[in-house]
Amino acid sequence: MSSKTVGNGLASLGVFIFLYYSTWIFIVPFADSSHWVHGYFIDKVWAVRIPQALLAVGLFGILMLVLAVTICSKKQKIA
Amino acid sequence: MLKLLGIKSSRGTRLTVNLILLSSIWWYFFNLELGKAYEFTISAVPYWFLITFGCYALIKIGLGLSTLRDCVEESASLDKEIKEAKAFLSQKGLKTTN
Repeated sequence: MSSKTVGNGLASLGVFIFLYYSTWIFIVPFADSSHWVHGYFIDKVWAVRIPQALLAVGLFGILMLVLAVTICSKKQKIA
Repeated sequence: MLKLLGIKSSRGTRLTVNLILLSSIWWYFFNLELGKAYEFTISAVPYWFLITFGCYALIKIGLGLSTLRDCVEESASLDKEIKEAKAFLSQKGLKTTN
């Protein structure tokens, strides 16, 4: 598991996610209902719900981190 | 993103101006009322920006990781120097945790 393979894996994952999501948003809504693309994608409402969920989880995580660091530093100051 | 207009501006000012410009362009298209297919795409563009930013960060980190060079001899010589320094200082009376 050298750093080179991990790095290449991360980069290709990023490229794949970008291409998949871009086709989901920009190409699938405009294709005929009988086109073959629709076989590869779930219902397009999920293309909005998944980023919303990620955003909520991410902001919550950042808030928790900030709170934890604040409380920790306050405790250190008192002690 | 927006090239520096001839005006001198701080990074924060340029960022807010870019954000307001992009948001107003998006808002214009959002209220234009083209067909049902366009409605979904336009309303999902902000999420697309978020995902694209995440992918850009992922790609940047991945490529940086893969092109990072590992200096083995320098790391070994650094370890040796750390050991020597620790031995010297503990001899002089500095207490170390390991």
